[in-house]
Amino acid sequence: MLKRELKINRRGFFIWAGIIVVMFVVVFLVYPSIAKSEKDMMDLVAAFPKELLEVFNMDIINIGTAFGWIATEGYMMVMIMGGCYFAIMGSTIILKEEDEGTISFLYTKPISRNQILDSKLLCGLIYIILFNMVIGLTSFIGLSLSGPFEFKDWLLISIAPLFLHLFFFTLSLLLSIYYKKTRKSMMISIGVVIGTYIIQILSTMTDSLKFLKYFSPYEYINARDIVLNHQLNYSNILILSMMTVIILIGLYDAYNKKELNA
Amino acid sequence: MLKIEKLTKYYKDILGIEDLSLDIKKGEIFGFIGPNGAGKSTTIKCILNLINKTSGSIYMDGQELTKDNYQLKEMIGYLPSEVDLYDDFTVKEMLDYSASFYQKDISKRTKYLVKKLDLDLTKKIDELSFGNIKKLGIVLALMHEPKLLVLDEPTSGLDPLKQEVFFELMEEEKEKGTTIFFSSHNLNEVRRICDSVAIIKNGHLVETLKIAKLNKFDFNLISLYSKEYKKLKLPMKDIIIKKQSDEMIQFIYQKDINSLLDFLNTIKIDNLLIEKPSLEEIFFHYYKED
Repeated sequence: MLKRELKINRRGFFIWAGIIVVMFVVVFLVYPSIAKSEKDMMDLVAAFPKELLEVFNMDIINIGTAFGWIATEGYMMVMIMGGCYFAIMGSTIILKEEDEGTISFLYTKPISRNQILDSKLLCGLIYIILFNMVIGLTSFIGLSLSGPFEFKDWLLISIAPLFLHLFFFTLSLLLSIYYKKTRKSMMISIGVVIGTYIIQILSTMTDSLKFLKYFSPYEYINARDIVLNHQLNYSNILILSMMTVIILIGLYDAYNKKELNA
Repeated sequence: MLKIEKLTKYYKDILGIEDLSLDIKKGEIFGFIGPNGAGKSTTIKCILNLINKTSGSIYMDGQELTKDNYQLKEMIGYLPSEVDLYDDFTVKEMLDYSASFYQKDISKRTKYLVKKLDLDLTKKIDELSFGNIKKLGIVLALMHEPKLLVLDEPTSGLDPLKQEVFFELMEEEKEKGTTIFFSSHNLNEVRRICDSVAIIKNGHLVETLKIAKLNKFDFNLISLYSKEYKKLKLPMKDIIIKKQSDEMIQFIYQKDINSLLDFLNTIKIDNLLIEKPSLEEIFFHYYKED
Protein backbone atom coordinates (compact mmCIF):
# COMPACT_ATOMS: atom_id res chain seq x y z
CA MET A 1 0.00 0.00 0.00
CA LEU A 2 2.84 2.36 0.92
CA LYS A 3 4.61 1.60 -2.37
CA ARG A 4 1.52 2.65 -4.29
CA GLU A 5 1.11 5.82 -2.20
CA LEU A 6 4.73 6.78 -2.88
CA LYS A 7 4.27 6.11 -6.58
CA ILE A 8 1.15 8.22 -7.07
CA ASN A 9 2.50 11.14 -5.05
CA ARG A 10 5.87 11.10 -6.80
CA ARG A 11 4.85 13.51 -9.54
CA GLY A 12 3.66 16.22 -7.13
CA PHE A 13 6.88 15.90 -5.18
CA PHE A 14 9.06 16.42 -8.26
CA ILE A 15 7.01 19.44 -9.33
CA TRP A 16 6.99 21.23 -5.97
CA ALA A 17 10.54 20.36 -4.91
CA GLY A 18 11.67 21.11 -8.47
CA ILE A 19 10.17 24.62 -8.41
CA ILE A 20 11.96 25.49 -5.17
CA VAL A 21 15.24 23.92 -6.29
CA VAL A 22 15.11 25.90 -9.56
CA MET A 23 14.42 29.12 -7.59
CA PHE A 24 17.36 28.41 -5.27
CA VAL A 25 19.64 27.65 -8.21
CA VAL A 26 18.62 30.89 -9.95
CA VAL A 27 19.28 32.87 -6.77
CA PHE A 28 22.69 31.25 -6.32
CA LEU A 29 23.52 31.99 -9.95
CA VAL A 30 22.62 35.69 -9.68
CA TYR A 31 24.00 35.99 -6.14
CA PRO A 32 27.59 36.99 -7.15
CA SER A 33 26.25 40.10 -8.92
CA ILE A 34 24.05 40.94 -5.90
CA ALA A 35 27.00 40.51 -3.56
CA LYS A 36 28.99 43.07 -5.56
CA SER A 37 26.37 45.71 -4.91
CA GLU A 38 25.86 44.63 -1.31
CA LYS A 39 26.13 48.21 -0.04
CA ASP A 40 23.39 49.46 -2.41
CA MET A 41 21.18 46.62 -1.27
CA MET A 42 21.77 47.35 2.39
CA ASP A 43 20.85 51.00 1.75
CA LEU A 44 17.67 49.85 0.02
CA VAL A 45 16.78 47.46 2.86
CA ALA A 46 17.46 50.17 5.44
CA ALA A 47 14.77 52.29 3.80
CA PHE A 48 12.07 49.70 4.70
CA PRO A 49 10.08 50.17 7.92
CA LYS A 50 11.59 48.37 10.91
CA GLU A 51 8.43 46.28 11.43
CA LEU A 52 8.57 44.97 7.88
CA LEU A 53 12.22 44.05 8.23
CA GLU A 54 11.38 42.20 11.41
CA VAL A 55 8.72 40.15 9.61
CA PHE A 56 11.35 38.74 7.25
CA ASN A 57 14.15 38.75 9.85
CA MET A 58 16.01 41.24 7.65
CA ASP A 59 16.77 43.36 10.71
CA ILE A 60 19.13 40.74 12.12
CA ILE A 61 20.85 39.33 9.07
CA ASN A 62 22.56 40.73 6.01
CA ILE A 63 20.38 39.85 3.03
CA GLY A 64 23.29 40.66 0.77
CA THR A 65 24.95 37.37 1.73
CA ALA A 66 23.91 33.98 0.37
CA PHE A 67 23.10 32.67 3.84
CA GLY A 68 21.22 35.89 4.57
CA TRP A 69 18.95 35.18 1.61
CA ILE A 70 18.50 31.53 2.61
CA ALA A 71 17.56 32.48 6.19
CA THR A 72 15.05 35.12 5.12
CA GLU A 73 13.37 34.88 1.71
CA GLY A 74 14.51 31.33 0.99
CA TYR A 75 13.27 30.14 4.37
CA MET A 76 9.92 31.87 3.86
CA MET A 77 9.58 30.29 0.43
CA VAL A 78 10.29 26.80 1.79
CA MET A 79 7.85 27.32 4.66
CA ILE A 80 4.97 28.63 2.55
CA MET A 81 5.42 26.66 -0.66
CA GLY A 82 6.21 23.48 1.23
CA GLY A 83 3.28 24.25 3.54
CA CYS A 84 0.95 24.57 0.54
CA TYR A 85 2.30 21.38 -1.05
CA PHE A 86 1.87 19.27 2.07
CA ALA A 87 -1.49 20.87 2.84
CA ILE A 88 -2.64 19.81 -0.65
CA MET A 89 -1.20 16.34 -0.14
CA GLY A 90 -2.85 16.01 3.28
CA SER A 91 -6.23 17.23 2.08
CA THR A 92 -6.31 14.88 -0.92
CA ILE A 93 -4.44 11.74 0.13
CA ILE A 94 -7.59 10.11 1.57
CA LEU A 95 -10.37 12.28 0.21
CA LYS A 96 -9.34 11.70 -3.40
CA GLU A 97 -9.93 7.97 -2.90
CA GLU A 98 -13.39 8.74 -1.53
CA ASP A 99 -14.10 11.14 -4.35
CA GLU A 100 -13.12 8.55 -6.95
CA GLY A 101 -14.78 5.66 -5.11
CA THR A 102 -11.59 3.60 -4.77
CA ILE A 103 -11.71 3.77 -0.97
CA SER A 104 -14.35 0.98 -0.86
CA PHE A 105 -11.75 -1.26 -2.51
CA LEU A 106 -9.39 -0.63 0.43
CA TYR A 107 -12.11 -0.81 3.09
CA THR A 108 -13.14 -4.29 1.96
CA LYS A 109 -9.58 -5.65 2.08
CA PRO A 110 -8.35 -7.47 5.22
CA ILE A 111 -6.72 -4.38 6.71
CA SER A 112 -7.79 -1.95 9.39
CA ARG A 113 -8.55 1.72 8.93
CA ASN A 114 -5.50 2.46 11.07
CA GLN A 115 -3.31 0.58 8.61
CA ILE A 116 -4.72 2.64 5.73
CA LEU A 117 -4.04 5.84 7.68
CA ASP A 118 -0.57 4.62 8.69
CA SER A 119 0.46 4.14 5.08
CA LYS A 120 -0.92 7.56 4.04
CA LEU A 121 0.87 9.26 6.94
CA LEU A 122 4.11 7.40 6.32
CA CYS A 123 4.00 8.40 2.67
CA GLY A 124 3.57 12.06 3.72
CA LEU A 125 6.39 11.79 6.25
CA ILE A 126 8.77 10.26 3.70
CA TYR A 127 8.04 13.06 1.20
CA ILE A 128 8.37 15.73 3.89
CA ILE A 129 11.82 14.39 4.80
CA LEU A 130 12.84 14.02 1.14
CA PHE A 131 11.54 17.50 0.30
CA ASN A 132 13.55 19.16 3.06
CA MET A 133 16.59 17.00 2.27
CA VAL A 134 16.58 17.95 -1.40
CA ILE A 135 16.20 21.65 -0.61
CA GLY A 136 18.77 21.44 2.20
CA LEU A 137 21.22 19.77 -0.15
CA THR A 138 20.62 22.40 -2.83
CA SER A 139 21.24 25.21 -0.37
CA PHE A 140 24.34 23.40 0.97
CA ILE A 141 25.84 23.18 -2.52
CA GLY A 142 24.88 26.79 -3.26
CA LEU A 143 26.30 28.07 0.02
CA SER A 144 29.51 26.03 -0.38
CA LEU A 145 30.09 27.64 -3.78
CA SER A 146 29.32 31.10 -2.42
CA GLY A 147 31.88 31.18 0.38
CA PRO A 148 32.15 30.30 4.07
CA PHE A 149 29.01 29.71 6.17
CA GLU A 150 28.02 28.27 9.54
CA PHE A 151 27.33 24.55 9.06
CA LYS A 152 25.14 24.35 12.18
CA ASP A 153 22.99 27.30 11.08
CA TRP A 154 22.49 25.71 7.68
CA LEU A 155 21.55 22.41 9.28
CA LEU A 156 18.97 24.04 11.59
CA ILE A 157 17.53 26.19 8.78
CA SER A 158 17.13 23.02 6.70
CA ILE A 159 15.53 20.95 9.46
CA ALA A 160 13.12 23.45 11.05
CA PRO A 161 10.54 23.63 8.18
CA LEU A 162 10.08 19.88 8.50
CA PHE A 163 8.12 20.39 11.74
CA LEU A 164 5.88 22.98 10.08
CA HIS A 165 5.26 20.79 7.03
CA LEU A 166 4.36 17.88 9.26
CA PHE A 167 1.94 20.11 11.16
CA PHE A 168 0.20 21.34 8.00
CA PHE A 169 0.10 17.84 6.49
CA THR A 170 -1.58 16.26 9.52
CA LEU A 171 -3.90 19.23 10.06
CA SER A 172 -5.05 19.14 6.43
CA LEU A 173 -5.62 15.39 6.66
CA LEU A 174 -7.74 15.90 9.76
CA LEU A 175 -9.75 18.70 8.10
CA SER A 176 -10.30 16.55 5.00
CA ILE A 177 -12.15 13.99 7.15
CA TYR A 178 -14.97 16.51 7.49
CA TYR A 179 -15.27 17.35 3.80
CA LYS A 180 -16.84 15.48 0.93
CA LYS A 181 -15.14 17.21 -1.98
CA THR A 182 -11.39 17.29 -2.57
CA ARG A 183 -11.46 20.77 -4.06
CA LYS A 184 -13.14 22.36 -1.05
CA SER A 185 -10.89 20.57 1.43
CA MET A 186 -7.82 21.66 -0.57
CA MET A 187 -8.91 25.31 -0.64
CA ILE A 188 -9.52 25.32 3.12
CA SER A 189 -6.12 23.78 3.83
CA ILE A 190 -4.26 26.24 1.58
CA GLY A 191 -6.29 28.99 3.28
CA VAL A 192 -4.96 27.81 6.64
CA VAL A 193 -1.35 27.87 5.37
CA ILE A 194 -1.69 31.41 3.95
CA GLY A 195 -3.98 32.67 6.71
CA THR A 196 -1.67 31.65 9.55
CA TYR A 197 1.23 33.30 7.71
CA ILE A 198 -0.75 36.53 7.50
CA ILE A 199 -1.42 36.23 11.25
CA GLN A 200 2.34 35.88 11.75
CA ILE A 201 2.99 39.06 9.71
CA LEU A 202 0.28 41.06 11.52
CA SER A 203 1.44 39.95 14.96
CA THR A 204 5.04 40.95 14.15
CA MET A 205 4.11 44.32 12.68
CA THR A 206 1.46 45.44 15.16
CA ASP A 207 2.18 45.58 18.88
CA SER A 208 -1.49 45.32 19.85
CA LEU A 209 -1.77 42.08 17.86
CA LYS A 210 1.39 40.50 19.25
CA PHE A 211 -0.61 37.87 21.14
CA LEU A 212 -1.77 36.47 17.80
CA LYS A 213 1.67 35.05 17.10
CA TYR A 214 0.87 32.05 19.29
CA PHE A 215 -1.88 31.13 16.83
CA SER A 216 0.54 30.91 13.95
CA PRO A 217 2.64 27.74 13.57
CA TYR A 218 5.28 29.80 11.73
CA GLU A 219 6.17 31.46 15.03
CA TYR A 220 7.28 28.14 16.48
CA ILE A 221 10.03 27.67 13.89
CA ASN A 222 11.02 31.32 13.51
CA ALA A 223 14.49 31.56 11.91
CA ARG A 224 15.24 34.40 14.31
CA ASP A 225 16.26 31.91 16.98
CA ILE A 226 18.66 30.20 14.58
CA VAL A 227 20.22 33.46 13.34
CA LEU A 228 20.54 35.07 16.78
CA ASN A 229 21.23 32.07 19.06
CA HIS A 230 22.50 29.48 16.56
CA GLN A 231 19.94 27.02 17.85
CA LEU A 232 16.27 26.16 17.49
CA ASN A 233 13.85 27.29 20.15
CA TYR A 234 13.37 23.77 21.46
CA SER A 235 10.40 24.59 23.66
CA ASN A 236 8.64 26.04 20.61
CA ILE A 237 9.52 22.98 18.55
CA LEU A 238 8.16 20.84 21.36
CA ILE A 239 4.90 22.82 21.42
CA LEU A 240 4.52 22.49 17.63
CA SER A 241 5.30 18.77 17.80
CA MET A 242 2.80 18.30 20.61
CA MET A 243 0.15 20.07 18.58
CA THR A 244 0.94 17.70 15.70
CA VAL A 245 0.62 14.70 18.02
CA ILE A 246 -2.75 15.97 19.30
CA ILE A 247 -3.91 16.40 15.70
CA LEU A 248 -2.73 12.84 14.96
CA ILE A 249 -4.69 11.43 17.90
CA GLY A 250 -7.78 13.34 16.74
CA LEU A 251 -7.15 12.16 13.18
CA TYR A 252 -7.05 8.44 14.07
CA ASP A 253 -10.19 8.83 16.16
CA ALA A 254 -12.09 10.81 13.50
CA TYR A 255 -11.00 8.49 10.69
CA ASN A 256 -12.16 5.40 12.51
CA LYS A 257 -15.57 6.97 13.07
CA LYS A 258 -15.86 8.35 9.57
CA GLU A 259 -18.24 6.72 7.15
CA LEU A 260 -18.17 6.58 3.42
CA ASN A 261 -19.61 9.68 1.78
CA ALA A 262 -23.08 8.79 0.58
CA MET B 1 -22.97 -17.94 8.22
CA LEU B 2 -24.29 -14.38 8.06
CA LYS B 3 -26.69 -13.11 10.63
CA ILE B 4 -28.14 -9.61 10.61
CA GLU B 5 -29.91 -8.58 13.78
CA LYS B 6 -32.24 -5.60 13.95
CA LEU B 7 -30.12 -3.54 11.59
CA THR B 8 -31.11 0.11 11.46
CA LYS B 9 -29.42 2.88 9.54
CA TYR B 10 -30.53 6.49 9.41
CA TYR B 11 -28.69 9.11 7.35
CA LYS B 12 -29.31 11.96 9.77
CA ASP B 13 -33.14 11.95 9.70
CA ILE B 14 -33.53 9.99 6.51
CA LEU B 15 -34.34 6.31 6.83
CA GLY B 16 -31.97 3.96 5.08
CA ILE B 17 -33.03 0.71 6.64
CA GLU B 18 -34.96 -0.18 9.79
CA ASP B 19 -35.07 -3.22 12.02
CA LEU B 20 -33.80 -5.62 9.37
CA SER B 21 -33.06 -9.15 10.52
CA LEU B 22 -31.81 -11.90 8.22
CA ASP B 23 -30.26 -15.30 8.82
CA ILE B 24 -28.31 -16.69 5.89
CA LYS B 25 -27.13 -20.28 6.13
CA LYS B 26 -23.72 -21.54 5.03
CA GLY B 27 -23.68 -22.35 1.32
CA GLU B 28 -26.97 -20.58 0.69
CA ILE B 29 -27.43 -18.22 -2.22
CA PHE B 30 -29.57 -15.50 -0.80
CA GLY B 31 -31.33 -13.07 -3.09
CA PHE B 32 -32.00 -9.57 -1.88
CA ILE B 33 -34.41 -7.70 -4.03
CA GLY B 34 -36.16 -4.39 -4.00
CA PRO B 35 -36.61 -1.28 -6.11
CA ASN B 36 -34.10 1.54 -6.23
CA GLY B 37 -33.88 3.35 -2.91
CA ALA B 38 -35.35 0.42 -0.97
CA GLY B 39 -32.23 0.04 1.19
CA LYS B 40 -30.33 -2.74 -0.62
CA SER B 41 -27.06 -0.81 -0.97
CA THR B 42 -27.37 0.54 2.57
CA THR B 43 -27.63 -3.02 3.88
CA ILE B 44 -24.58 -4.08 1.86
CA LYS B 45 -22.58 -1.06 3.02
CA CYS B 46 -23.44 -1.96 6.62
CA ILE B 47 -22.38 -5.59 6.11
CA LEU B 48 -19.05 -4.38 4.73
CA ASN B 49 -18.73 -1.65 7.38
CA LEU B 50 -18.43 1.05 4.74
CA ILE B 51 -20.96 3.02 6.78
CA ASN B 52 -21.72 3.01 10.50
CA LYS B 53 -24.85 1.29 11.71
CA THR B 54 -27.31 3.38 13.70
CA SER B 55 -28.13 0.22 15.66
CA GLY B 56 -28.14 -3.55 15.29
CA SER B 57 -25.44 -6.13 14.76
CA ILE B 58 -24.04 -8.25 11.97
CA TYR B 59 -22.36 -11.59 12.65
CA MET B 60 -20.37 -13.86 10.39
CA ASP B 61 -19.57 -17.38 11.63
CA GLY B 62 -20.71 -16.27 15.07
CA GLN B 63 -18.22 -13.38 15.28
CA GLU B 64 -19.30 -9.77 15.07
CA LEU B 65 -18.33 -8.31 11.72
CA THR B 66 -16.51 -5.11 12.60
CA LYS B 67 -14.48 -2.89 10.32
CA ASP B 68 -11.17 -4.04 11.79
CA ASN B 69 -11.84 -7.78 11.93
CA TYR B 70 -9.20 -8.86 9.37
CA GLN B 71 -9.84 -12.57 9.72
CA LEU B 72 -13.45 -12.16 8.66
CA LYS B 73 -12.66 -9.56 6.00
CA GLU B 74 -10.22 -11.99 4.43
CA MET B 75 -13.14 -14.39 3.90
CA ILE B 76 -15.38 -11.84 2.15
CA GLY B 77 -15.50 -11.04 -1.55
CA TYR B 78 -17.35 -7.92 -2.64
CA LEU B 79 -18.57 -6.84 -6.04
CA PRO B 80 -20.06 -3.34 -5.98
CA SER B 81 -22.69 -2.25 -8.48
CA GLU B 82 -20.28 0.38 -9.79
CA VAL B 83 -16.70 -0.85 -9.74
CA ASP B 84 -14.30 2.02 -9.02
CA LEU B 85 -10.64 1.13 -9.48
CA TYR B 86 -7.30 2.90 -9.85
CA ASP B 87 -7.20 4.39 -13.35
CA ASP B 88 -3.43 4.51 -13.53
CA PHE B 89 -3.06 0.74 -13.06
CA THR B 90 -3.10 -1.91 -15.75
CA VAL B 91 -5.42 -4.88 -15.18
CA LYS B 92 -2.42 -6.96 -14.06
CA GLU B 93 -1.19 -4.28 -11.64
CA MET B 94 -4.68 -4.00 -10.18
CA LEU B 95 -4.89 -7.77 -9.65
CA ASP B 96 -1.39 -7.89 -8.14
CA TYR B 97 -2.24 -4.99 -5.83
CA SER B 98 -5.40 -6.73 -4.67
CA ALA B 99 -3.52 -10.03 -4.19
CA SER B 100 -0.94 -8.24 -2.01
CA PHE B 101 -3.57 -7.87 0.73
CA TYR B 102 -4.01 -11.64 1.14
CA GLN B 103 -1.72 -14.07 2.90
CA LYS B 104 -2.30 -17.09 0.65
CA ASP B 105 -1.10 -17.66 -2.90
CA ILE B 106 -4.05 -16.90 -5.16
CA SER B 107 -2.22 -16.66 -8.47
CA LYS B 108 -3.61 -19.93 -9.87
CA ARG B 109 -7.20 -18.98 -9.10
CA THR B 110 -6.66 -15.49 -10.52
CA LYS B 111 -5.27 -16.92 -13.77
CA TYR B 112 -8.29 -19.19 -14.08
CA LEU B 113 -10.74 -16.33 -13.59
CA VAL B 114 -8.90 -14.01 -15.98
CA LYS B 115 -9.03 -16.71 -18.66
CA LYS B 116 -12.66 -17.54 -17.98
CA LEU B 117 -13.73 -13.91 -18.23
CA ASP B 118 -11.36 -13.18 -21.11
CA LEU B 119 -9.61 -10.16 -19.58
CA ASP B 120 -6.69 -8.41 -21.24
CA LEU B 121 -4.05 -8.04 -18.51
CA THR B 122 -2.06 -5.38 -20.35
CA LYS B 123 -4.91 -2.86 -20.69
CA LYS B 124 -4.99 0.18 -18.47
CA ILE B 125 -8.05 0.52 -16.26
CA ASP B 126 -9.02 3.88 -17.78
CA GLU B 127 -9.12 2.22 -21.22
CA LEU B 128 -11.59 -0.47 -20.12
CA SER B 129 -15.27 -0.41 -21.07
CA PHE B 130 -17.92 -0.54 -18.33
CA GLY B 131 -18.45 -4.25 -19.04
CA ASN B 132 -14.74 -5.04 -18.81
CA ILE B 133 -14.42 -3.13 -15.53
CA LYS B 134 -17.30 -5.22 -14.21
CA LYS B 135 -15.50 -8.38 -15.34
CA LEU B 136 -12.39 -7.20 -13.50
CA GLY B 137 -14.59 -6.49 -10.47
CA ILE B 138 -15.83 -10.10 -10.59
CA VAL B 139 -12.24 -11.42 -10.66
CA LEU B 140 -11.31 -9.14 -7.73
CA ALA B 141 -14.29 -10.41 -5.74
CA LEU B 142 -13.59 -14.10 -6.40
CA MET B 143 -9.81 -14.33 -6.67
CA HIS B 144 -9.11 -15.01 -2.97
CA GLU B 145 -11.76 -17.77 -2.75
CA PRO B 146 -13.98 -16.04 -0.20
CA LYS B 147 -16.42 -17.94 1.98
CA LEU B 148 -18.97 -15.13 1.72
CA LEU B 149 -19.64 -13.28 -1.51
CA VAL B 150 -21.51 -9.99 -1.40
CA LEU B 151 -22.71 -9.07 -4.88
CA ASP B 152 -24.48 -5.82 -5.65
CA GLU B 153 -26.21 -5.87 -9.05
CA PRO B 154 -23.50 -8.22 -10.39
CA THR B 155 -24.71 -8.61 -13.97
CA SER B 156 -25.42 -4.97 -14.79
CA GLY B 157 -23.15 -3.92 -17.63
CA LEU B 158 -22.30 -7.48 -18.67
CA ASP B 159 -23.22 -8.67 -22.16
CA PRO B 160 -25.45 -11.80 -22.32
CA LEU B 161 -22.49 -14.11 -23.07
CA LYS B 162 -20.53 -12.86 -20.09
CA GLN B 163 -23.66 -13.06 -17.94
CA GLU B 164 -23.72 -16.77 -18.75
CA VAL B 165 -20.06 -17.07 -17.72
CA PHE B 166 -20.91 -15.24 -14.51
CA PHE B 167 -23.73 -17.70 -13.74
CA GLU B 168 -21.36 -20.60 -14.44
CA LEU B 169 -18.96 -19.13 -11.90
CA MET B 170 -21.79 -18.81 -9.40
CA GLU B 171 -22.65 -22.48 -9.95
CA GLU B 172 -19.02 -23.34 -9.22
CA GLU B 173 -19.13 -21.25 -6.06
CA LYS B 174 -22.35 -22.95 -5.01
CA GLU B 175 -20.72 -26.35 -5.43
CA LYS B 176 -17.81 -25.20 -3.27
CA GLY B 177 -20.24 -24.16 -0.55
CA THR B 178 -19.69 -20.41 -0.79
CA THR B 179 -22.44 -18.34 0.80
CA ILE B 180 -23.67 -15.66 -1.59
CA PHE B 181 -25.59 -12.51 -0.75
CA PHE B 182 -27.01 -11.51 -4.09
CA SER B 183 -28.59 -8.09 -4.36
CA SER B 184 -30.51 -7.44 -7.54
CA HIS B 185 -33.61 -5.91 -8.99
CA ASN B 186 -33.72 -8.57 -11.68
CA LEU B 187 -36.02 -11.21 -10.29
CA ASN B 188 -35.42 -13.74 -13.02
CA GLU B 189 -31.73 -13.77 -12.13
CA VAL B 190 -32.62 -14.27 -8.50
CA ARG B 191 -35.00 -17.10 -9.35
CA ARG B 192 -32.33 -18.71 -11.50
CA ILE B 193 -29.59 -19.04 -8.89
CA CYS B 194 -30.92 -18.21 -5.44
CA ASP B 195 -32.17 -20.58 -2.75
CA SER B 196 -34.01 -17.88 -0.80
CA VAL B 197 -35.02 -14.34 -1.41
CA ALA B 198 -35.75 -11.39 0.83
CA ILE B 199 -37.89 -8.57 -0.46
CA ILE B 200 -37.15 -5.12 0.83
CA LYS B 201 -39.22 -1.98 0.37
CA ASN B 202 -38.85 1.53 1.82
CA GLY B 203 -36.14 0.36 4.19
CA HIS B 204 -38.18 -2.50 5.64
CA LEU B 205 -38.10 -6.22 5.08
CA VAL B 206 -41.36 -7.26 3.44
CA GLU B 207 -40.91 -10.99 3.26
CA THR B 208 -38.34 -13.78 3.10
CA LEU B 209 -39.21 -16.73 0.90
CA LYS B 210 -37.66 -19.98 -0.32
CA ILE B 211 -37.42 -19.86 -4.11
CA ALA B 212 -38.41 -23.54 -4.36
CA LYS B 213 -41.54 -22.87 -2.35
CA LEU B 214 -42.31 -19.83 -4.44
CA ASN B 215 -41.99 -21.86 -7.63
CA LYS B 216 -44.50 -24.36 -6.26
CA PHE B 217 -47.22 -21.72 -5.93
CA ASP B 218 -49.77 -21.97 -8.71
CA PHE B 219 -49.69 -18.38 -9.89
CA ASN B 220 -51.48 -17.53 -13.13
CA LEU B 221 -51.62 -14.26 -14.98
CA ILE B 222 -55.15 -13.80 -16.26
CA SER B 223 -56.08 -11.30 -18.97
CA LEU B 224 -59.83 -11.20 -19.22
CA TYR B 225 -61.51 -9.23 -22.03
CA SER B 226 -65.20 -8.74 -21.32
CA LYS B 227 -67.58 -5.79 -21.04
CA GLU B 228 -69.33 -7.65 -18.26
CA TYR B 229 -66.37 -8.50 -16.04
CA LYS B 230 -67.49 -5.98 -13.38
CA LYS B 231 -70.50 -8.22 -12.69
CA LEU B 232 -68.12 -10.90 -11.47
CA LYS B 233 -67.73 -11.47 -7.76
CA LEU B 234 -64.04 -12.29 -7.91
CA PRO B 235 -62.35 -13.72 -4.78
CA MET B 236 -60.35 -10.56 -4.10
CA LYS B 237 -58.17 -12.11 -1.41
CA ASP B 238 -56.63 -14.43 -4.04
CA ILE B 239 -56.18 -11.74 -6.65
CA ILE B 240 -53.56 -9.09 -7.42
CA ILE B 241 -54.99 -6.68 -9.97
CA LYS B 242 -52.41 -5.41 -12.43
CA LYS B 243 -54.42 -3.55 -15.07
CA GLN B 244 -58.02 -2.58 -15.40
CA SER B 245 -60.25 -0.71 -17.89
CA ASP B 246 -63.96 -0.81 -18.86
CA GLU B 247 -63.43 -3.75 -21.19
CA MET B 248 -60.59 -5.70 -19.61
CA ILE B 249 -58.95 -6.73 -16.40
CA GLN B 250 -55.54 -8.29 -15.88
CA PHE B 251 -54.73 -9.97 -12.60
CA ILE B 252 -52.60 -12.61 -10.92
CA TYR B 253 -54.63 -15.45 -9.49
CA GLN B 254 -52.98 -17.27 -6.61
CA LYS B 255 -55.14 -20.42 -6.49
CA ASP B 256 -55.99 -23.41 -8.66
CA ILE B 257 -57.14 -22.13 -12.05
CA ASN B 258 -60.18 -24.48 -12.04
CA SER B 259 -61.67 -22.62 -9.13
CA LEU B 260 -61.48 -19.39 -11.14
CA LEU B 261 -63.17 -20.88 -14.19
CA ASP B 262 -66.31 -21.46 -12.11
CA PHE B 263 -66.54 -17.70 -11.59
CA LEU B 264 -65.86 -16.84 -15.21
CA ASN B 265 -68.65 -19.11 -16.49
CA THR B 266 -71.27 -16.60 -15.49
CA ILE B 267 -70.39 -13.83 -18.01
CA LYS B 268 -69.85 -13.42 -21.75
CA ILE B 269 -66.11 -13.42 -22.44
CA ASP B 270 -64.57 -11.82 -25.56
CA ASN B 271 -61.14 -13.17 -24.93
CA LEU B 272 -59.26 -14.93 -22.15
CA LEU B 273 -55.53 -15.30 -21.82
CA ILE B 274 -53.96 -17.48 -19.11
CA GLU B 275 -50.17 -17.21 -18.72
CA LYS B 276 -47.48 -18.03 -16.17
CA PRO B 277 -46.42 -14.72 -14.68
CA SER B 278 -42.79 -13.68 -14.25
CA LEU B 279 -41.42 -13.32 -10.77
CA GLU B 280 -41.52 -9.55 -11.28
CA GLU B 281 -45.25 -9.75 -11.87
CA ILE B 282 -45.79 -11.82 -8.74
CA PHE B 283 -43.86 -9.34 -6.65
CA PHE B 284 -45.46 -6.36 -8.32
CA HIS B 285 -47.79 -5.78 -5.40
CA TYR B 286 -44.88 -5.55 -2.98
CA TYR B 287 -43.32 -2.79 -5.00
CA LYS B 288 -46.46 -0.75 -5.45
CA GLU B 289 -46.54 2.46 -3.45
CA ASP B 290 -48.80 2.15 -0.46
